[in-house]
Amino acid sequence: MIRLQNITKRLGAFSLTDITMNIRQGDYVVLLGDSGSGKTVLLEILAGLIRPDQGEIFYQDRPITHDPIRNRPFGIVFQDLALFPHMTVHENLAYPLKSKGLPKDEIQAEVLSQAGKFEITHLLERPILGLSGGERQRAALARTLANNPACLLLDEPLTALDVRIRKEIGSLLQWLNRNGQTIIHVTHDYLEAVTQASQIGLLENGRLIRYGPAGEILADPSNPLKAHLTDIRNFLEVTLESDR
Amino acid sequence: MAIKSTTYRVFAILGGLVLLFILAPLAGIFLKTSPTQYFETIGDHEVTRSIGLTLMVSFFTTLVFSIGSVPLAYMLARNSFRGKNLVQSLIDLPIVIPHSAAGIALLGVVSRDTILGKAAESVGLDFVGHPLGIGLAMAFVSVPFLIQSARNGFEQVPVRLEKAAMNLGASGWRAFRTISLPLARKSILTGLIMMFSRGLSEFGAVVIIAYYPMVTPVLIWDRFNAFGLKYARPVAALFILVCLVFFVLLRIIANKGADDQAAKHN
Repeated sequence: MIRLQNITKRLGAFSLTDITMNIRQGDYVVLLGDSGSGKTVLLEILAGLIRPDQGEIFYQDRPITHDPIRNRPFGIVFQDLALFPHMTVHENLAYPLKSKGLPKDEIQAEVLSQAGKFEITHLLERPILGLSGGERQRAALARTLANNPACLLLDEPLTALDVRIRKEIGSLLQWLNRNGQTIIHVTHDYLEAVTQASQIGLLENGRLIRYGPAGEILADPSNPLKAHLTDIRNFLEVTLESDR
Repeated sequence: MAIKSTTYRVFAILGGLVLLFILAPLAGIFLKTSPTQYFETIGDHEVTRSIGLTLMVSFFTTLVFSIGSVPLAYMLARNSFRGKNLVQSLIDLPIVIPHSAAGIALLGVVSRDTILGKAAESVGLDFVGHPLGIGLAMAFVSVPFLIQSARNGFEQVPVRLEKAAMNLGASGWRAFRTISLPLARKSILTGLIMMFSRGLSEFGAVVIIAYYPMVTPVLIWDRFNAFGLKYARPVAALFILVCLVFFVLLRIIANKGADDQAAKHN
């Protein structure tokens, strides 16, 4: 579905080098790496916010590397969420729909549908500035998905949240993925990769050093980066047969 | 604490002296003008016509120049390019040069024997001695205030919000119109009021381009020269009152903007 081929970008002293990966429809890809490993740069290249120096991005085998931001099949949720502070939640959710020039009744129906899905209907008339972290995260996800992107790009979506909200949003993302939403999620938190990913990419100093099914990557004991990111902890996969 | 108190007292005295320096001439001009003189001045058609002309020309000049200045401010806020500091210094130049010199410089561009002057003349316009010329003189010295203020406003708007808007399907124009412009509106509005107010009070550049029709600063100068202080003062007092109204308006809007910013960070 999405193919990155030899993506390279130099930004001052840092360079993202030769990134090649395939993302299939319905994948939940977690790009895992330390700060400065190039995770966010890669996400912004996909979204079209940064142009790569070399390489190509393909969507359904069509090159989209030089397509304008608004024509790409990606919806990005920034780490700081980038909700529009001068608008209400409703206006934020309606924004992509108005950009498409949809009629008012369709916009209203879609806003209500998304708000219902993310349980923020009661917040629709509230200004962004008064929302809690979890409410803001839900509003940002609802706004991005109102644009119906083929692939959701998430920049550290769980990092700034407290434990309870983190679990809630994590479950919400998994639910979206189970319903067919392709997701690329970048994080430095190994635990997020363990709990969320179907595919994991390990980024180190701008290079994709491993990419593959989560089970394989997590089972590989040879990677020193993995040991670093896990804080040399062990994770055991268990199946819960009863909650008693 | 004793040292602090002493420091505060010294500062209060020094600051008070500066305040007195600003207030004394203004208070003097109002106190020395009797209510009868105010009423006579308000009834003087030459004065009211002049104040009306000054307000109108400054208003339309601000409006017309905002069409190019706001985009320029946005470009300066968003782009880094070689020579940017030079461009910014050039924009600020009219603020620091003597305004009579600015008038002479402008006259060199708009007088009848220049390309622009000839082009204007061919369609029946003459900048010299015309409200259009007055507007150009006002704009030359006041437009830097609008550009600076709007640029500061745009710099406060995170680029990320514009990128988010474009990721949500907005065109560059829609992102500017719905995100950057509303979020920078306080600074733009402040810049517009500053440009308008500065245009109202301009004398040096205007008098070179257009002595007639007389804007109020020129009228005050004319009356002072022809009839002396006694006749110039009521016109000056009335015009200062008009300017004060706009100054107070500017402060209210600027303070409201600052309060909103503070609330955003709380």
